[in-house]
Amino acid sequence: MTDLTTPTEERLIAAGEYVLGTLSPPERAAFAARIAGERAAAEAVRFWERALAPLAGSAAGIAPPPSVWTAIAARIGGVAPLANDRGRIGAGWRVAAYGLGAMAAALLSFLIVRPAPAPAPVGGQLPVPLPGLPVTPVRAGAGYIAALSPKGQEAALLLTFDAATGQVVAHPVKLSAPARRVLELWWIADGAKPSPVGLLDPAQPLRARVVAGNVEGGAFAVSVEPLGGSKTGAPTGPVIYSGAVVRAAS
Amino acid sequence: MTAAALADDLETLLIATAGGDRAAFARFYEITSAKLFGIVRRILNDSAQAEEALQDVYVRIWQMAPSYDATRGRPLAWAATLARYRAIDILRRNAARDAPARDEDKSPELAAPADGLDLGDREALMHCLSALPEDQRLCVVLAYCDGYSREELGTRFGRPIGTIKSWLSRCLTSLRQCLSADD
Repeated sequence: MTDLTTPTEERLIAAGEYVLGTLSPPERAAFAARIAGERAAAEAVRFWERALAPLAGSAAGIAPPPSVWTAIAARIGGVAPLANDRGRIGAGWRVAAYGLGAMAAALLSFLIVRPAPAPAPVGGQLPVPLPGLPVTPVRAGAGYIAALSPKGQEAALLLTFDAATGQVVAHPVKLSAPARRVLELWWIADGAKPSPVGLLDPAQPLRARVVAGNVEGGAFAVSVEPLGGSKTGAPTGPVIYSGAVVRAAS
Repeated sequence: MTAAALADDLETLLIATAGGDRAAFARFYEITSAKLFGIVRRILNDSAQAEEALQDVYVRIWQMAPSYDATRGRPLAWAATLARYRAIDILRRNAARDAPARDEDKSPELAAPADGLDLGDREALMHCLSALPEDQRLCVVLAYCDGYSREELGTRFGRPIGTIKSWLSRCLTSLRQCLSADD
């Protein structure tokens, strides 16, 4: 190529080839460094990025396999956006995430596993009941437990529930969500509609608080929801686990 | 949903994502992942590599969402740019490949996208691309859409690398002039 180009043209062409992807790897690396240090080079790249972007629009959409989202979610530290402990990235989640299979949407029965101790009040004080919570017959700190499991199988989720404070701690035991779906936990007080508790992360306990309502005869349930959880405030997908609460021996 | 409403929605989702909202990010993925997968799949021509690229792209979107700036284009165009770069990086890392075969004389890229997900000023670009000599236009399209390297373009057109380089230079110069004239 005869070198009759001005520096401005040279930069424009190099930026164009950078965006096209036709620079050789060493040229590409060199130009990337130039973008970082030379404002005009960065601007030229932006010009081409914007100008050529409509060509990308011509790519036919192809739904990626569900495993891609699972892996992304694992890499950014889990998908559960609600009441989970956020900062922790459990190695267990990673394993669980990669091991997800198709989940049988079997109807599940309730399985009592073992009583759990009532959660200790925080800071040694008795928890203050939320307004509207029944003061009797449930005493402060009363522990309830529910174990949600597929019929005849080991428990998927163990739950402790303090009816006085409405505090729920759900411990996943053997839980997996179908690809590109999340599992959402619901509390159904006796005679009430399901109220959302939170999204379940297979590797972490979910801590949340619900308005307890009528606890005796109440139940927890898990439904399969789109990523991000139900948008309607009510379960929209199949309920795959459910179990009534049982008063734990104290 | 209209294209404009979708763009607004993606921008809102991206802003929420920047604030660490995983549900918003999941929704952003739901809306955009098929398009981005189509883009990386077309360049890499290999499912496993395309999936790897797509993962990297969304992790990058998650990380870079706080620095997203609307002046860099609409969210989908921005994400598509990240996707292309990642795919090209992976492609060039694995030196040898079979360049994707395609119908020699057609550039379906010049047609309006069927899904209505437009990524910018298509009219202006198509107008300016159509002013280029056919082989040179195809060079740009093959490089951008299919990730052809200069060598692959040389093979495809039966020309030495030097010729391809000067074609690309001329194409880019005329495109720039044509697009600036339209501004």
